[in-house]
Amino acid sequence: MSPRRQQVKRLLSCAGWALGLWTMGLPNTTDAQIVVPGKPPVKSPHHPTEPGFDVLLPDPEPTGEAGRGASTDDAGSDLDIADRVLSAAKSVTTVQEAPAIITVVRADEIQARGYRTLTQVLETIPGWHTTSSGGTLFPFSMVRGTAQASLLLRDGVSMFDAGLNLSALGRTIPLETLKVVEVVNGPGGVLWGANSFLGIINLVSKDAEDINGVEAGFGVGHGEGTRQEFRAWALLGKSFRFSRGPRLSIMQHVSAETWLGQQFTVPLTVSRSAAPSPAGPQVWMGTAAANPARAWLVNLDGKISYGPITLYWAAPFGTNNSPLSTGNNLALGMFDRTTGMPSDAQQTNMVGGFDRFVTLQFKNRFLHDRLGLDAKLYGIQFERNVNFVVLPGTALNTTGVTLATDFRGYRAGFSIDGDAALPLRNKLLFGGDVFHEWNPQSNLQFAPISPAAVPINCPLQAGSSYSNPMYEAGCPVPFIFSAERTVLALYVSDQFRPVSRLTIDAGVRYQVGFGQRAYRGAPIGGNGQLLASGAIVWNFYREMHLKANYASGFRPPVFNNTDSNGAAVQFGGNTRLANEESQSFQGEWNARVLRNIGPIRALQLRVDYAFTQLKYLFVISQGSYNNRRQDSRDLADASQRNIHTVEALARLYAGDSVFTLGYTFLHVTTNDRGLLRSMPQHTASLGWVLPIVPRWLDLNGTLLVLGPYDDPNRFQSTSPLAPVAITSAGFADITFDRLPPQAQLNVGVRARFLKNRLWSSLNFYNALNQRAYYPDPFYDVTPTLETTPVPTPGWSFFWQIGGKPW
Amino acid sequence: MRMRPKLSALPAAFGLFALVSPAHADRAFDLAGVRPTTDPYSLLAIERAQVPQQFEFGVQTLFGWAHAPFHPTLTDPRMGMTDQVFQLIENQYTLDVGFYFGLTRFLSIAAVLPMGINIYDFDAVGDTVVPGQPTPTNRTPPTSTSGLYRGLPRQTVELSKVGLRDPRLAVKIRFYGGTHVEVGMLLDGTLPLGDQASFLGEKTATFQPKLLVGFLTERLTIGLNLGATLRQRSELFDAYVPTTLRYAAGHDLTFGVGLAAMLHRIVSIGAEGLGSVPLTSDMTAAAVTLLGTVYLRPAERWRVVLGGGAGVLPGNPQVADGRLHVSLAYSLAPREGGLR
Repeated sequence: MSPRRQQVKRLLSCAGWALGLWTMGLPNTTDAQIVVPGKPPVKSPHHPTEPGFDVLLPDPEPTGEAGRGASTDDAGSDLDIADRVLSAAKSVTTVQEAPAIITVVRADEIQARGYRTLTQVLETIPGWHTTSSGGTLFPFSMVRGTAQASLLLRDGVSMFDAGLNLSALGRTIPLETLKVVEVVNGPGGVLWGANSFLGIINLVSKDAEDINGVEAGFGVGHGEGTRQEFRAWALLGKSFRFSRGPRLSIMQHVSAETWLGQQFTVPLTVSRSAAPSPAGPQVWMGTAAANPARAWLVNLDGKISYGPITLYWAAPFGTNNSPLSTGNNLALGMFDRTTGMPSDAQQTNMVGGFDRFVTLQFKNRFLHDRLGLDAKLYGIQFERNVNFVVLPGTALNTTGVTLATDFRGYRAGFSIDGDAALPLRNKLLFGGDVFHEWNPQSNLQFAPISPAAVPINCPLQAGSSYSNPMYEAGCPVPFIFSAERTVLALYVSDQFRPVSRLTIDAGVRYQVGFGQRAYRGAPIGGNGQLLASGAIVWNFYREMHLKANYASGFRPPVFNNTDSNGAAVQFGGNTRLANEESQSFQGEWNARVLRNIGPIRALQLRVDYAFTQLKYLFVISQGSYNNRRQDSRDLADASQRNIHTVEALARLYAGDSVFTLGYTFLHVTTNDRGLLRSMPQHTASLGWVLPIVPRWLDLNGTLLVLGPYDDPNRFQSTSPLAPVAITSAGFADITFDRLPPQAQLNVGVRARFLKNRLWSSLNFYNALNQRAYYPDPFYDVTPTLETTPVPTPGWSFFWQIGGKPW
Repeated sequence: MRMRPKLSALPAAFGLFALVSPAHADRAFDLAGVRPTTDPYSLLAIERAQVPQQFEFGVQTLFGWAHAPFHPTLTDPRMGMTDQVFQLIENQYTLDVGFYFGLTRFLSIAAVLPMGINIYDFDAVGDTVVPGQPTPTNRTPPTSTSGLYRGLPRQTVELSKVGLRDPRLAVKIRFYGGTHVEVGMLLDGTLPLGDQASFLGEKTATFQPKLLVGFLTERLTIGLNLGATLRQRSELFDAYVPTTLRYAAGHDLTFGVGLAAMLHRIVSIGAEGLGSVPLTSDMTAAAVTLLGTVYLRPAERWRVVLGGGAGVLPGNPQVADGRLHVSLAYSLAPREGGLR
C-alpha cells in the first residue's frame, strides 16, 4: 500500500474514531516524521513510526525501560492529566469514570491562568455562565441557564443559604486556598440533597502538606472594571509529627484587599415604582456615572488536623460596594443644586455575601480499608446584610433613598458519609444529614429620606394621631419574617462492577423537612422528598468511556420566598410553596487520546448531551411567589422548564503547554413564556498556557465567546419635560434588546524564579474592553426589577508578586 | 467507476444563494480587510500550499490596525441633507487568534477566532433615544432615534465597539509539493457568530475556496491565490433616504500575490497585494490593498511578521487609508528549518 493511501486510510479512520466508530487493527507503518526543535527525530515507543502502534488510537501506557524513562521525565507534568475527583462523587474516582459529568480545575491551573474569582473559573466550564443580580450588587454563576441552581460545598459542607439562596462565589473565596475545584453539571440530589438542583461546586482546600511553609503575595491593579485595587495574602501550612500519636497539621490563611468599583455611565433613574408596587412608569434624566464607596474585604480561614480529626473555619468580613443597584440605579448621593445632578460623593452600595463557618470533621478508614467514614459537625452564619441606593438624589427627591437591613441566616447540623466495599464487586455509599436552618426577623431601614415620604406604611410612634402622624425613624418595617426548618435525610447508593470495564450505579435518597417551613407538596406525606439516580459507565475501549446517567434534585423554597414581607419592598412570601424539582437524562462520551505523540502528552475530550426538566419553578404572579405557570391559576398546572444542552470540553497537553476549548449549546424553553431568549445559545471558551521560555516565562489567556441573546427591557418612549432631557417608559413600553455576541479576552504573563520560590504575574482582564451585558436570568417579559440591561465590567489589570520564602 | 462531480449543480446553488431578498439597513459586514493565513508557513495574508507536518500543532495571532476601513457616503442632516463621506468607522483594531493542526503530510486544519474593535464616528451612528420637544398640543411627545438606528426596532443597546467577528474554519490540501513549485487548495469558511449589528460579522455562513500556487527558490518565495467569497448579500441603505443604497457586499472574486525574499536565515522582507472584485454587488468597486512585510524568525518555533500598507483603489468604501499588522506564531513541533 502506498504511503499516500495509508495516510488517507488514517484520516478516514480518524473521522470514524471521532464518531465512536473505532476500527481495530489498522496497519501501523507510516513515513510521517515529527521533528521537535532541538532534538533529533529519534523514534520513541510512542512515536508514530513505531511498529505495532497506531497513532490514531490511544496508546497503551508505556512499558519497559523506554517507557520508564519517558515517565521519569513526565512524572511531575503528567499529574495534571490525571483528573482525579476527590470528593464531589463522595469517593475518589476519575473524571472519566465518575457516574456524573464532572470537571476538575486544579490549583496550578488556577494560578497559571490568572483567575481572580471563582466565577471566572466557572465561566470557562461548559454549561456555566456568569450573571449578576440586583444591578451589579451580587454577581453569581448560573448552570444550564438557570440562576441559583448550584450547590456550593466547602470541603464537602453545603453552603446553601436558606434565607436568600445567594451563593457567595466572588472574592470571599480566596482562590489561593483551594487545592481543587470540582464541578458537577446536572442534579446531584441523591448524594448532596437540597439545592443540588442543577450543579455542584465543591471546593477542596489545600492541606498543610500542600504548602509546607509560608506562601505570600501582594498585588496592585487598576482599570475601568476595577479601580485602585490592592491585595495581600499569606498562607501558612505545616505538619508536625510527634514521637507518639498522630500527625498535627495546621493551615492558616489571611488575605486583605480593597478596590473601587467601576464608574458605569447609565441612564439616571429619577423615579420608578418597583416591586411589589403595581408596575408604573420609570422616569430617567439623561445619564450619570456611578461612584461607589471603596470596598474592602478580609478573609480569615484555615484548618487544623490531628489524626483523623480536622477543624475548619472561615470568617470573612468587609464591605462589598458596587456601582449599580436593583434596576441599574446608580450609586450616587444627595441632589447637588449647583450641578443639578446627584452629588458624586462616594456612596455605600452593597449586599454582603459572607459565609462564616466552623466544621469539625472525623474521617477515617476501617476494616483494612474496606469501610470509610466521614462525619461532620458544622455551624454556618450567612451574612447577607444589605445597604444599597434605591434612588439617588434628584430635583424631585433631593435626599434620595437608600435601603439597609441586617439579614443573617444560620444553619447547624451533622452529616455522616460512608463507603463500604461489599462482596461481588459492589461498593456501597451511604449516609445522612440532620440540620436546622433558621433566620431571625430582619427589618428594613430607609435613609436619609423622611419616613413620611416613603411610599409604604411606616410604623408610627406612640402618641401619633391621624392628623399628626409621627413615624419611627428610618421606617423600620420587616424585610423577612423569622422562619425555621429542620431537615433529616438518608441516602444509599451502590456501585456494581459486573466486569472490570462496566460500572452500574444506582442510588436513592429520602429527605424530609419539618418545622415551621416544612417541605410542602413533596411526594411522600407532603414533606418527604424522594430522589433517585442511576448511571452506567462503560469503558468501551482503552481510555474511552461512555456514560448514561439519570439524576434528580430539588430546591426547597428559601425563607425569602415563604416569609418575605409583601407590604414593604419585596414580592409577597407564600408559605404554601412546594419544592422545585429537577431531573436530568445525560449521556457522555469521553476519551484520552494522542498519548505521548511527539510533543503532545494527551488530548482529553468530553462531549455530553443532557435533557433536563425543571418542575414547579417559582414564578412571580400577582405580586407574590408561586409554583404555577405564570399564565395559569390552576395549582396543578405547574411551571416547567425544559433544557437541552450539549457541553463539550477538550484539553490538549503538549509539553508544558495546555490548551483548553469548551463549548456549550443551551436551549431552554418554559411552558409559559416559550423560548428563554435571555441566555446565549452558543458559548465557547478558549484557554491557553504557553511557555515562552520553558519553566520561566508563561503566556496565558482565556477567550470567552458568547453568542447573542435578548433581554426584555423598558424603552424610553416619551419626553414629558423640556428642556431637561427627561424620558420615561410606561408599563407597556417594552423592547427586546438584542445583546450582541461578546469576546471577553483575558491575557497575562507569569514569570517564575528561584525554582518556583518566587513568581510574578501581570494579567489583563477584558483586555479588549468589551462592553457587554449580563444574561437576564429572570426573563421577566414585563420587566419591573431589571428594566435596563446590566453591564459587565470593563478592562482592568492586576500585577502581583508572590513566593514561598520558607 | 469514479463519480464525476455534478458541476452544473453549482451555478444553481449560487443562484439560490443570491435570490434571498435583501434586508434594509444591514450592518452585517465583516470589514476586516486583511485576515491572517491559516498557518505560519504562509506569508502574512497570502496563503502558500505548504502545510504543517503531521500532528504539528501551533498557534498564530494577528493584530491589526486600520484607519478608516469603512467610509461610505451618507446623508448628513446637519448639512441640509446633502451627501457627505463619513468615516463611519474611524479606526478598527483586530485580533485574530488561530490554531492549526497537521493531519497528514498534505492536509491540515485550522480554526481562527477573530475579534474587532471599532471606533465609530458617532455623528454618523446616531442615538437610540432622542428626547422629543413637548408642545402645547403634545405635552408628552414620543422619543425618536437618529443615524443608523432610524427605522429599526426600538432598542436601548447601542452598537458594540468591541465584539466577536465570524470564526473561521479551514482545511488546506497540498496537491503537489516539489522543489520549486507547489499547488494546493484552501477550503475556508466562516460561521455567522460575529456581531452582525456592529459591522463585525456577515449575515450568514460564508465559503471562501482558494487555489494556491507557489514558486520557490532558495531565497525567494512567490505565492499566488485565486478564489471566491460566497455569501449572502448585505445592503446598507441610507438612514434618511431609505431608498438609496449606500453599500452592498455579496459574492466576490478574490485574488492575491505575495513575494518574500530571505535576506538572512532569521530575516526576510516581502510585499503582498490582495483584493476582491464584486460579482453581484452593484454599489461596490474592486478593492486592492498593498502591504510591505518583514518576517522575523528569532527561533525555530517562533515567527514574527510586521506589515503595513494601504488600499490603492479609493472607489470602494471598504478600503482602509492605512493599516499596520503584527503577527506572532508559535509551533510546538515545526517542520525542519522552522516556520518558513
